Amino acid sequence: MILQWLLPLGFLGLAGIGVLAVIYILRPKYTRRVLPSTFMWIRSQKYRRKRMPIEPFRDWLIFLLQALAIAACAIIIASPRLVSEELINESNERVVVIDASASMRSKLVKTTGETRFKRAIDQTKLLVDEVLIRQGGSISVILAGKTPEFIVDDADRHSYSDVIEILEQAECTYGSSDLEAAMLMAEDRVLHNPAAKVTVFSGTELGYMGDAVTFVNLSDSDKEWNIGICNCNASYEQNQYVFYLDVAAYGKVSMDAMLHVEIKGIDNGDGAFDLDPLDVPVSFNVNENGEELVQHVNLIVDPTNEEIGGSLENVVGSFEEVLVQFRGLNDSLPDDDTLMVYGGQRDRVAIEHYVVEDNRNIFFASGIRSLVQRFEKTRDVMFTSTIDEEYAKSSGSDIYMYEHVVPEKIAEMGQNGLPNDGITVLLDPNEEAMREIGPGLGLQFKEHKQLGTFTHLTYGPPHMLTNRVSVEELGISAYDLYEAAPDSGFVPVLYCGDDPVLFARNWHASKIVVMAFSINMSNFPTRPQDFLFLLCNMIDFYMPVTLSQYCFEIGEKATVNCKGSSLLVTNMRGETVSLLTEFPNEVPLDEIGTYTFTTRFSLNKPDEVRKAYVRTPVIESSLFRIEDLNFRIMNSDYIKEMGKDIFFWFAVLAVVLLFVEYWVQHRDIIGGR
Amino acid sequence: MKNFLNDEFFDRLEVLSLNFKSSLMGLFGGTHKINSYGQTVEFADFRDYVLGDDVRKIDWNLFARFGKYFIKLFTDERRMHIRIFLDCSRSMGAVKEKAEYAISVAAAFGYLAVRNMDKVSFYLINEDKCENPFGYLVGKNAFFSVIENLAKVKFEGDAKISDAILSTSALGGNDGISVIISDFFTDNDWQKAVNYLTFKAHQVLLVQTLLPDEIHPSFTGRSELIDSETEQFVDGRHLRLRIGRQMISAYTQAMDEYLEEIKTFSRKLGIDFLTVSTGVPIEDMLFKRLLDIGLFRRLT
Repeated sequence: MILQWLLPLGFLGLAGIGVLAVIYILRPKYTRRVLPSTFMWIRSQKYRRKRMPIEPFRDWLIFLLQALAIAACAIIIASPRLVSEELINESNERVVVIDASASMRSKLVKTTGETRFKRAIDQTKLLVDEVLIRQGGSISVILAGKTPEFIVDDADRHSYSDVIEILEQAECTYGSSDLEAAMLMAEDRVLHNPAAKVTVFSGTELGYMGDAVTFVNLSDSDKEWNIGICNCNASYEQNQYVFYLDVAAYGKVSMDAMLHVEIKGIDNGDGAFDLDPLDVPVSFNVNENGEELVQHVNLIVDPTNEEIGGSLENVVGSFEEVLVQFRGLNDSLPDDDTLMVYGGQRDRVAIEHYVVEDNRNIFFASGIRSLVQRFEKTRDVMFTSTIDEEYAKSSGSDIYMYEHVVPEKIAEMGQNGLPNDGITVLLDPNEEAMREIGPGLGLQFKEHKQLGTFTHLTYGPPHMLTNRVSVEELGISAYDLYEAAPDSGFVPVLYCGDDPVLFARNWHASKIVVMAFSINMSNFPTRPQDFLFLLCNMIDFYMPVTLSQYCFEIGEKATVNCKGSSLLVTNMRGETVSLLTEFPNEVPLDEIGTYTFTTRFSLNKPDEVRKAYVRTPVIESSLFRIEDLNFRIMNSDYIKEMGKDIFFWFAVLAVVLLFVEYWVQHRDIIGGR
Repeated sequence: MKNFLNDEFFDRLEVLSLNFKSSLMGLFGGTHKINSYGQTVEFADFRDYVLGDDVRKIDWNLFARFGKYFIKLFTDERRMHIRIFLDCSRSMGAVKEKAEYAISVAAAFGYLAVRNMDKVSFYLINEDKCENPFGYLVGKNAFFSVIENLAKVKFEGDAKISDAILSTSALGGNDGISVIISDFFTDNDWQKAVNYLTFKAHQVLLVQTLLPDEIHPSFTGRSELIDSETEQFVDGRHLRLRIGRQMISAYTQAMDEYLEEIKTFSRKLGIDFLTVSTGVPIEDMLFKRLLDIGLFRRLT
């Protein structure tokens, strides 16, 4: 426990000891005289000069003075402050909050074409003129973007020209604003100066925000309207893509619009081609008298529909990009009239399986089929299995699974014979082959262990390969014992007793899994789901999808992963946003438009390109929305800072009371006490 | 006490005598002539004979001259009782001079009484009691036998003159002088006692004995005044004063008014009052002031 002083200034009160000393020094000395009788002295008092008639109340007066002195001391300890309302009213501080969200880019379509933001800036300039020049006060301006900031901080009349210049250079964002954070910053100013007034410029109705806040609503339903694309979802259903669109009108809109749709890079297996543009008619009729100035229309775009210009005979199996756009609308907010849809090119996973004929098992093939179904939505899994070494591939696939055997040509070439464009999975490799390639890999074959009983496997260090796999339920009856060199990069994933039986290496140029036991000698066939999870994990671990979504709102961060060695992110102008080598990672998306994510491999594979579109937030399309910040800034409570410390005066009062008490105490006493 | 109560002091008193009011009746056996007629040999007057008078007192010479019976009257002589009430409170004894002075005055009255064959009693007032430790003294021998003890009287506590005198028995009536020696600095209603004594037809003399400082304080400055009768700091009689010229003036004014109050009271009752300062020689009081007011008379 530490002793702390809340108000060290209070020790000034010790100066009172000095006052006390002075009182004692100045204390008059009374000579004690024993008289035969004081009778006449008492009688003589009535002939004395008229004095303050305090004698009857002397004791009460002394008590009152002492009580007041103690009360004054208590008040001093309580740090009294005199809050002057008059003083507060003299202050003229203004805090301006300008909403810089994308909806503030809305234009007055039927008149000047000024945006809400421009009008907010203009009105702020007038306010600056009023407060700084005419009233001689101070002003602060908070630009409420994604992260609100003071662009003008407590400026006075001397900074007038600078403030005007800053306001003219202020820009509206394409994203959402954090008005609550901005109001918190404004509230902080009001807490320091309870008389400060806050003016908020926004097009979003924010409700009552307290008597300190003047809200200026810049929306104008007579001069603003907007049609925007809320969402376009390319859904892969029954081996084809179906496009679901959600478009909406905001404001008093009654018109027929045409939605322009271009689907590019369609590849149904016969080569990529672009579909002729589609024009989808959309009718809006927002009830002008209704309270809700919003109308949503949901569409399904069918490229085979001739009525909208569809000429496609077959379904869309994949696509590069889809452009969805309202053209020639001339609405208030054109930023939401265009949307690009990506994600129509699914990852291809080609699995090559080579197994000696004697050990071929049906279980493996069924497992792969389950794998295909599992990744149907995100990946195209192609599986090839052969028992003929002549057809066993060592290039051109993504995953090479060699079960019980390693092709002789690989064994003869040692480590360099392994495929260099994908993941090599050695399932129970034969002893002779491992003696050949093992030293090069860093895996030294030791011995074959035949267990007398069925033995359960155990976890190695936490590894993604064992996600969802019930390792404790798995068991084997025989395995090969390998010893991994420390610098081999092999990580033991599963153990049987103290011996590792599943190794994994994830180098950019060498991705290898070695399973040192035979599926036939395990209970995987009775637990196919665990085998499926193991394969899924293998694909997710070595070949993660780059993006989990292909459309973002501005200001969001894209979570990216990489199956290669690095990921290059560029914006729509081709400028590099970031080059990532650590994954998973996040990429900030601060501009509207298409971002390109290029995966580069150290393996002998071509770059993989994925794209994503960054748009304005959907909510910003709603020009006349109402939000309740549930935030109040009140300056009716005139609290601190504006008050004057009256500590000193109470100290003076205490001293005066003590002196008066002392005077009364030592005043001529008649009748004793 | 030896300053006053000595032979020289008493010798000087030989020329003085108490002068009693003629209305006093006194007691049998004294030397003081009174207004009534008695059995002495000194002729006083005649009056007509009435039936029942002693025929032996008829003046036959006048019968022979006027043919009427006249009775011959003679003067009467009585013994007076001098009661001396001495305030024995601490205020009287706090200062030695004041006590000595008071005792000397008492002794003087006592001596003059016994010298004229009167009876004297010393009543010592202490608190609300009035003691008579020496009894009734008649004759010089009796007086001198107690004078030493009188000098050793202790002055203690308070003196409630009124309560003490009113509680005293055997105060007689119309038989002599009652002398109250005190400073009369008391809240006790001593006037009630004086009223009682006058009711008893005593000739009353009030002797107020004061120190010079009590008549006119000589000290100034900030003072804590403590009454000697309590000597308690917490007491109603305690004062803390800054004594200056204005305060002295107030005191003098208060003193004058108090004396005037006593004098007025005395005049109303027809009693004598005398204020004496211990600073003034006692001879001045005995041989001048008491003579002036007629209580003493000089023997020729």
